[in-house]
Amino acid sequence: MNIKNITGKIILESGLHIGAGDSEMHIGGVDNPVIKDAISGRPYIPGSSIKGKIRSLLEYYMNIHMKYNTKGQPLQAKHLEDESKKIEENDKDIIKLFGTSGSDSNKHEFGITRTIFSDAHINEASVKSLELKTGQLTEIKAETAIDRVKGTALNGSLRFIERVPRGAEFNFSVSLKTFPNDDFDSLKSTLLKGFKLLTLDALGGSGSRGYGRVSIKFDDENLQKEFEDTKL
Amino acid sequence: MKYYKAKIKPTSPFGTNPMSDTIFGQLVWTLSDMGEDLSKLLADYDTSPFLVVSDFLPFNMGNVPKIPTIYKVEGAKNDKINKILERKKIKAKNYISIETLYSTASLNKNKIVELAQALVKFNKSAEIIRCSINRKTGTTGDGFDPYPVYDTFFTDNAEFTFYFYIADESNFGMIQEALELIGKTGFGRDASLGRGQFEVLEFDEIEFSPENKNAIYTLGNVALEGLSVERAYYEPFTRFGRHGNIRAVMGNPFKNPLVMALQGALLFGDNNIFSKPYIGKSIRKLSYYGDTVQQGYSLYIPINVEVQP
Repeated sequence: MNIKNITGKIILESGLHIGAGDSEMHIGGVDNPVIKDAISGRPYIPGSSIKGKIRSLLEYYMNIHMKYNTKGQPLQAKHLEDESKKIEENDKDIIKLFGTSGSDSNKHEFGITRTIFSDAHINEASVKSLELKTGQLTEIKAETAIDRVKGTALNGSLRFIERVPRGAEFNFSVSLKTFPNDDFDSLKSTLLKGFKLLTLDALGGSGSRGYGRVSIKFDDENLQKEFEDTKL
Repeated sequence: MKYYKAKIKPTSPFGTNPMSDTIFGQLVWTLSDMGEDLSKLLADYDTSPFLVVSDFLPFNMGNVPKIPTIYKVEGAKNDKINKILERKKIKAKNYISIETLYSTASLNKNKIVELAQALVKFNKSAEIIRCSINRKTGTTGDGFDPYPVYDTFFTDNAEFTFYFYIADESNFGMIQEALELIGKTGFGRDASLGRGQFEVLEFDEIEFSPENKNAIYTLGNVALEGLSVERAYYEPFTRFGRHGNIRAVMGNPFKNPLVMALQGALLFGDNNIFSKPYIGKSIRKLSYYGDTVQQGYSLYIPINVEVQP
């Protein structure tokens, strides 16, 4: 087994909102808080958000849900068991990279999940810069809807959404495990395509309204060049 | 008894408790991924295990031994109130230093209560809400509703001590490498989402002598059934185990439930009890897969407890 650790920065090009859910309410708290580290209280990007978004974008890009009729679910090993369908080799990379849920049909073919997406924590420089500028690590954005008859704000539509402001930088780390029979270059290239798609799409909630635009900067210069040259 | 000791610093939240049998399973799978021959390593596992590991013990402290204590609430009204309040304080002190347990010449119920301490806050369990993107709607709704998971987050000062015994000392390098690899890749639930990662700070050798000792304090979960011990004080724990690695996703991932004694069991027996540097037994045929092995062994430290009449 070989492990390659890929590190870099996720730089926010617009406000990011990854919701913390409504598991608890704080008096005077914002309606839609962002997820924060339980100990430090700083916002972070969960590994599950990065992994899930990249996986879903790759599945859209490779037209997986149409080819294998996944009914809106993530691609699983069981979807590739229909022998009447032509299974494309590249599609198997999705399961190798991101894993599958348990299935009797999953004999040793796909193996274990190859990637490990760690939580991306906000870096110290960003914390200092944000605290200096605004005194806090998040911003509150107010939004309303327009009443189509009156042309003014719709009654009851005012809402407050917490976001991590534009410019904040998060350190991310992805480990890629490969085994002797794996095609490392193919897995790496699929992963880089996923990152490329992420920069064209959005991370977190309200992506269609401009939230969550990000750019990626890999620490390894060669990898950064390879990433910039990646064509979709 | 010679053990190795490693200092572990968590570098990410944990999704699974770092208990001995979990860590053992993870180490065995990692050794397999490293290309080691498992059938050779596990050949004599029933009689002389190649590796026995402990729980990750926070700040080198273990669970307080489950020795029965007699606690009388009597006296004047104010005394009773004070004693009841004190009882809550005592209950909060549920850890005891491994070194103190070993070095104290003669332990008894009162001494154990006296030596027990509450840990400094080093972790926090938090509910994380997750959801999945529906590929048809592009949103998280429509049958893909959010669900909560619980992760344990650690403070910067959190630190664990991990003990392990290796039958053949020439295997030390291999185990060291496997442990460091697990630290990088994580263990347990959601390892692919960065859970269960740690850094191994240092390795050390440590020796415990059973001289003038009469009891065993276990450093990990142990399967007690069929063992010849005179008395045992422990907290039972049912392990609803799961297979790891590829077998976690191959169908039939579950193991049969197994009742074990939680770390911190106190066992009394004759001198034979110290004959091996570990106690317990191997567990096999625990699941659909015939070659399954579960660590039912535990490391221990010899201690001296005043025998009550």
